[in-house]
Order: sequence, then structure tokens, then C-alpha cells
Amino acid sequence: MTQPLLALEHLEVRFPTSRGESTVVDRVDLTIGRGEFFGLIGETGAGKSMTAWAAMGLVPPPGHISDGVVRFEGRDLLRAREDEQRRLRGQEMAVIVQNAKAALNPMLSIGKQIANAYRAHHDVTKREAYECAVDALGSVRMPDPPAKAEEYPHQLSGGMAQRALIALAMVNRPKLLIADEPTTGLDVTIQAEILDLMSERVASQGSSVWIITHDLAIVANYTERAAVMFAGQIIENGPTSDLFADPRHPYTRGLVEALQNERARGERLKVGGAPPDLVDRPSGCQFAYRCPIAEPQCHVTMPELSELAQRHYVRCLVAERLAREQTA
Amino acid sequence: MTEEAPVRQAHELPPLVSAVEVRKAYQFRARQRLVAVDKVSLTIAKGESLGVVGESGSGKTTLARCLIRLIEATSGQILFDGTDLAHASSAQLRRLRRRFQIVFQDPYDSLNPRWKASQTLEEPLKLLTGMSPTERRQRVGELLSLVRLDDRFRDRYPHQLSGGQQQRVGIARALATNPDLVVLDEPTSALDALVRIEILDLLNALRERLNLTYLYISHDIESVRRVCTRIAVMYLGQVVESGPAATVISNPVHPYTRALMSAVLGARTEVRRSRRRLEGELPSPLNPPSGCRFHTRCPIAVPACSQTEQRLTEVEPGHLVACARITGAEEIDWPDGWDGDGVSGDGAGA
Amino acid sequence: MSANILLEAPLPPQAVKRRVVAYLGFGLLLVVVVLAFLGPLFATHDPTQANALEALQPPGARHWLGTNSYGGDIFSRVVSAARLDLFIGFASVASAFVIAAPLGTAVGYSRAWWASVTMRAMDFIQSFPVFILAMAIVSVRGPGTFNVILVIALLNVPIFVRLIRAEVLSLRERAFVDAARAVGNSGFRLVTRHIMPNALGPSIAQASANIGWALLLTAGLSFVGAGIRPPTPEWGTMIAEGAQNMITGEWWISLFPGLALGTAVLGFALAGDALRALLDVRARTV
Repeated sequence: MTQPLLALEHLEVRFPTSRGESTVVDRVDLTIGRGEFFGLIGETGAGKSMTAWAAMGLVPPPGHISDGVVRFEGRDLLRAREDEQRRLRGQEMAVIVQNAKAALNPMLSIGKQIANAYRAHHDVTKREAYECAVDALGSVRMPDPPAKAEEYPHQLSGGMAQRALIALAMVNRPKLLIADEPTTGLDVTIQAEILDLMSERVASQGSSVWIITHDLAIVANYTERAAVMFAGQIIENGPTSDLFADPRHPYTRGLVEALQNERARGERLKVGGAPPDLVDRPSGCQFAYRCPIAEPQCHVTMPELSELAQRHYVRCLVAERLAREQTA
Repeated sequence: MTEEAPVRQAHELPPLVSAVEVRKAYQFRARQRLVAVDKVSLTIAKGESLGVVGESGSGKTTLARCLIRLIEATSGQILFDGTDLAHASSAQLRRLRRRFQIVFQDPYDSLNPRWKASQTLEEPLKLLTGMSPTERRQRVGELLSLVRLDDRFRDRYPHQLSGGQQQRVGIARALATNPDLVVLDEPTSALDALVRIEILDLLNALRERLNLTYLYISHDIESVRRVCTRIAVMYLGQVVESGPAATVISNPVHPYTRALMSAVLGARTEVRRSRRRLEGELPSPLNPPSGCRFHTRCPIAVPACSQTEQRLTEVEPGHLVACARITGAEEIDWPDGWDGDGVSGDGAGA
Repeated sequence: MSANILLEAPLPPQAVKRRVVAYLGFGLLLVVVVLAFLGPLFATHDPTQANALEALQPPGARHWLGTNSYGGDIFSRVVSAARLDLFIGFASVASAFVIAAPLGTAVGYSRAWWASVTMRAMDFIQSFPVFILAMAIVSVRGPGTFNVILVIALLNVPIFVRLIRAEVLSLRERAFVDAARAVGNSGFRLVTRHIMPNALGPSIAQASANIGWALLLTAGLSFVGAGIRPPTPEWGTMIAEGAQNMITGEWWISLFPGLALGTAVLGFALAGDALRALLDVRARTV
């Protein structure tokens, strides 16, 4: 198999709290291939954003990466030199976040910001960089790019600001675009535009996109592979079509059933409930306290991610048992 | 049985709310006027659930607030069970308030951070009913169980509740005085996918159980489909299409509605819709296009469209569209992908 | 960031720091307050009495902190002054607060013309150099405790009005205010039961720091003779009394009242922050 673009191995992120250490990302293993559109699903607090920030080596203090390796194209990112890390972050990986307007520098026009980002990694004149910036805005289908390039972030609508942020992120042609809830709060039609844009970039430029969201519909419609996180752990990981057609983990099943609305409410798996305690973690499966099909064993033994179908990994003892019974 | 809200025939029920040519304009200095709601008329029958959808600048939130007189409409009539709210005295309003309530978008923001849930829930009872303290305490217990919260949540502060729990308190507060009408202003947009669906299921159950009428404002078509029986689509302050929710969502007629519905993401992975793209940007509400407000982005616009204002006209019983070209007799040359039924069958339809 | 993290109590290093600071603040204040209330009971001499024979004694057995140029016992005077200074500090800031709270709330909530006018009046008061204004008022009305309190209260009102107004401005846009209106709150109830309680928090912390500032101002005014007149013991006047003696080597006359003043001011400043944290509802856990 070809080398993945990004590989997270046993990544662990902890935060000190007054009650003890909170393990926000718990030994996460993840790979994203070249040109792949990958989705990371989870509810608020599942640790998905933190995983992405950790992958870039940007965990905000007092949080820290307590264990694990991040490999970008095989290279150990976390142990690289500071300037090498910065180059990787600016050039090979780029991030877009939820509130685009807040992520842009309010003091500079968007044209200048994009130009600056370009000049940071390319030896060109200011004029050339600015022209690149205008081109970048055109490539994200911003209407009237030269005019928009002169505007400031506060003058843009939410959708426009997000486009500008994408242009900023993509101007250096990164191999990986990380999008953290990029369309939350945007209108439906704008959301579709933004997602189509990101999808097209993957196709045309060969970049990978790593989208982080709680919205399953986005994952269903745009991603090729996806992983589900709960309590800082990956609990299921596989091709998107498999995940939706045959969700193995009860949490995933609950999410998919609720989304697809096929079963009557009474028959659906109930997987909602209180958020897990990340400091005082229970023994065994972290989802067991909320799981409608938990068995006694689940509260004792921590399940590991096991491959239950072609490239389809699940962290669930019950699912493992069912898979064994099926093949038997 | 699916989760679709059952459709009731509109003509059997008397309208609970009737808005007639409601207009809300904001005047800024130097002849800058923003017409947020432009002569909107609609009715809500008792027991039905009307979804008002639209994107930014559509005026849906302003309309909702006018309808329950949280803000004053500039002109027009707003009839609640026969009484004109726009011209009611404060005494009349006071008496009527207990019959319509509102649930807000941001659950945390809509609760007083220094008050316990029990205080928040008791307040409407104190102000709008004549219940004794004991009765009120009991009612708080009832309300909590109605929204499926344990009694121990009585003494919780908002910051001690999750987003879903906070919203349940918000819903419980709206139900405290046993209202007839509940206005829901994007009640789930601040919540995660799973919690969102739980709350929507709860809203459906409550409507059936308590025989409520809903005015549901949202830009999330999927949630509207789950909760609403009828839908009205707004664009730049006007209603462009209205009718039974299932029909309008799966077979939109107005070009804007077609574009809107095609942007809704389905729940399946296999089906790929061709999206109907809108040209141009949303015009500024301060300077709306002349004639049909949508003509600047419309795929079938002709010069006449910029000259005449559109009126809502029936295309089939209960289904109205504000587009003279469509409701007129002429043949329309739709661009590729725009014609035919809207969202393809991917589980989003009935 | 994970929502759970936000719900957790403060992180250890910061929490510890905050706690030490709080204890220090409250501790210092306790010392000063005890001094103020109980001190005079332990006073060895009459604070206002002069005794030329015992003038300019260094700290010793008879006079624990020494005597000043006319034989007044420094210890008794420092302790007695504590009462007066604290009283002035509290009274002035409290009166300012009582006036500013409704005024600031009204000005923040109302969009009427008089709100701007009021704020311009606040600007007016604040545009004067503090000391000049204080002295001007005192020169018109004369020195003495009441007038000092009046002056300091006047100077504090704009500060609190601004703080409270700022809070109210952001609070009035919040959804829970709309919600309160929807459930039938009248304007008055809205303001008093919903907005004000949420608006006053930051000002209370500021109030504590302002008491410290009031003490300094009182001392300053008395130092130049525009505040409390001798022989009434007051830290400022006492520092003034000993100012010239510093050169001749009698350091104790100014030092001890200075220390007392510094301790009190520091205590109030530190306590203010801790007070704000205490009042924050979010600190209450399940």
C-alpha cells in the first residue's frame, strides 16, 4: 500500500484540570491518503478538533501531546525542527475553521493577506504575490475577484469570508486541507457551494481534505472514508459507503438510523445521553454507559479497533462477537 | 410509521394566526430603509405546524417576532384568534401572552445565567397565571418530565446543562402556560446532529400530545421536513412559495425553492444530486431588485420580471407560488437539471 | 475546544495562583479591619493627646511605634486612623455605587436622548484631573470627613456608571432578555430582576479596588491639608506630619502610617479579584 499522506499513531492529548488530567485525545490511530476526502465525525467534546490541532503540533497550552507520533509523508512532524514544522504547516497543510471572519486578520484586506501567505513560501515580488491572491480568489469562485481582494473581512458575508479563507489556505497548494466545521452557521446554498468547492479541489489539485463535523449528511455526501470519534477515541473507521450501509458500532448505528429516518422512533437505537467524563474514565468501553446493547463484558474490557470488514475498523466487543458468529 | 408530521386539511380548521400584509421596515439615517418583511400574508391553522424557511436576509426571524409582537410591525394586521395584536392594548396583550410563547435559537443565551431551571420555569407561571407557589412547584415538575428531564435538573444552572438540556428547559418554559401557539426560532441550529434529532422528535411528540400549533423558523430544510406540515419559503422579505411541506420539499416549483431544495444534503451516500446553482450574490436588503426580487439570480428571468412585483398564486389546492411566468400559461424553457422533480428520491422524501 | 474543558474548574497552576492571591488579599484586609475595630481597645494612649515631653521618641517600650513631633503616640494614632480611613473608603464607594447602579443600568438600557446627555456629564466629571477637582470642591465646601466622602463619591460615580452601562449594553441584546419579555416581564421587572443582577458583577470587584484608591485619595488630600484636619488621626495627615522629619532621621513618624495605608490598599486590590470570582455563578459546580 502506498504511503499515506498523514498518519497519526497512538496520538494522545491531555489537559490538566482541577480534578486531574483530562485525556481529550485517547491513543488515536488515523491515516489519510493522498487525494482523499476524509471525514471525522463526533459530537461536541468528542475530541475531533483537538485531534486535528494535535496533528499539526498546535495544541494550545496547558494541553500537551503526551504520546504518539504524527507522520506527514513519512516524516515525524512533532519531532522536526521548529522552522521545518512551520514550513510544513504553512505549505503542506492548511486549516480552515468555523468562524471565517474571526480567523482572518481584520486589519488587512483579504488580497493582502493571501498575498502575504504566498510570499511567506515563495520568492516573488509584492505585485506578483497580489496577482496570485486575486487568482486564488477567482479559483474559489468569488464574484469580481479584483474588487473583493481590496475588501476587509468585516465587509464580507459569512459565505464570502469562508471562500476567502479557503483561498488563503489553498494559495500555497497544500497537500492537505483541514476543515474544522467549515459550514456550521452558513446558509444551505452557501454550504453546498463551499463543500462542492472543497470537493473539486481534491479532484483537480490532488489535495486531500480532512473535514471535521458533527453533521453526518456532509460526511455521507462528500467523503470517501470516515471515522467516528467518541470520548477521544476512534470507535469506527472505514469507507463512507460501508459506514452508512453497514454501521457496526452501536453509536454509529444510532447516528445513521436517526439521520436516515428509516426505522420508526421506537425501533431506533438510542445513543444519546450525557457527555463522557474525560478525567475519571470508566474501565472498559467508554461508550458502554450509554450503550443500548452493552453486555457485562463491555464494562470490564476495553475493546480495541479491529478490522471487521475490508478496511472497516470497529471498536466494539459486541460487534466483534457478531462478526465472528456471522463468519462461523 | 415514519416521522413525518401528519397533514391535516387546511380548510377544516379555523386559522389561529392570520397575518395580513405585514410589513416591517427599519429606517436608518440618510434615506436608507431596510424592509425586512414586505407585505407578507399568511395563516396558521390550529393544530398545524408551519415552517418558514429562508436564508440570511429572508426576513423569517423578523416575521416571527412580529407575529407574536416581540417587535412592532410597521404596518399590517396580525390576528391571533381574532384579536388584532398590532393594535391591542397592553392589558389585552398581557392576557393573550400566555397563549403564545417562543423558543429561541441559542439555548444558553436564552436562559438567565444566574437563575436555576426552576426559577426560569416558574417565572411565566408567576407573571401570567394565578397559580399558588405549591401549584407552581408542581407544574415545574410536570414540565420537566414533559421535556424528558429528570427532577434533579430543577436546581441546575444553565452552565451545568448540556446544549440539549438547555434547550429542553427553553421548550419547557415555552410550554409553562399551556399556550396554543409555540414559535420556534431555529431551535436546533446550535445543537449537534444527534441532539438535534432528539429535540425534533420531542417537539413532534409534544405537538401531538398537547395539541399545539407550531410556527417553526429555520434554514435547515431537513428539520422542517421532520416537524412541519406546511411550509412557506421566504426570499428577501417576501414569501415566494407555500404549501404542504412534503410537496414543496420534494417537488419545488418556484426557481428559488428549486435551488434551495437541491442544496439540501440527503441522508444516503449513493445518490448524487445535480445541484441547481444560483448565479450572483444575494442582493442587499437595503437595495432590493425591482419587480420580482429574485430576478437577478433567476435562471428563467425575462425583462418583464424586473418590472412587475409577483403575487402568490395557487398552482394546485393549498400550494401557492409567486412567479407569474410559472403560474401563467406559457411554456418555460428550464435550463438543464432545473426541470422535473426537485430533490431526487434519496430518503429525504416521504 | 472540548466543551468539557470549558465546564471544568480552572486549571491547577492558575487556580493555585488565584487562591494564594485571594488569601493574601483577604488576609491583609483582615489585619486592617481587625486593627480598625479592635485596635483602639489596645491603644496605649489617647490618639489626640499631645505631650511635648515625649516628642520624637523612636519606637520603644512605652511608645511601640514611637511618637511624633508633639508627642502623640504613633501606634494609637495609626490604629485610630484605620477606623476613619476605612469608614471614608467604604462610605464613599458605597454611596457612589448606590447612585451609579440604577443610573448606569438606566443609561445602558435606554436609547433615549437623556442617556447620551448623562454620559457626557460623566465625561465632564472624569475629564478633570482627580486631585484638582477634589481640591476645588473642598476649597468651596471646606475640609472635613463629610466633604471628603462627598468628593470621592462624586469621582467614583462615573467609573461605576461606565462599567455598569457597558455590561447592560451587551446584556440587553441577549436572548434571555427577549425571553423574559416574552413571558410577561414589564420593563421595570426586566431591568431589576434580569439585567441588573447580571450587570453588577464586574463592578463589585472594581469597587473593592476603588476603596483602596479612595484611601489613597483621602490620604493625598489630607497630606496637602485639604482633607482631614489634624489633630484627627488619619494616615495621610500623619504621613504629612512626618514628612519633614524624614530628613532629620525620625523615620518612624511617616513610615508606619504609610505601611498601614499600603497594606490596606493592596489588600483591597487583591481582594477585588477574588470577590469577582466568588460572585461568578459559573463557579458553582454540581
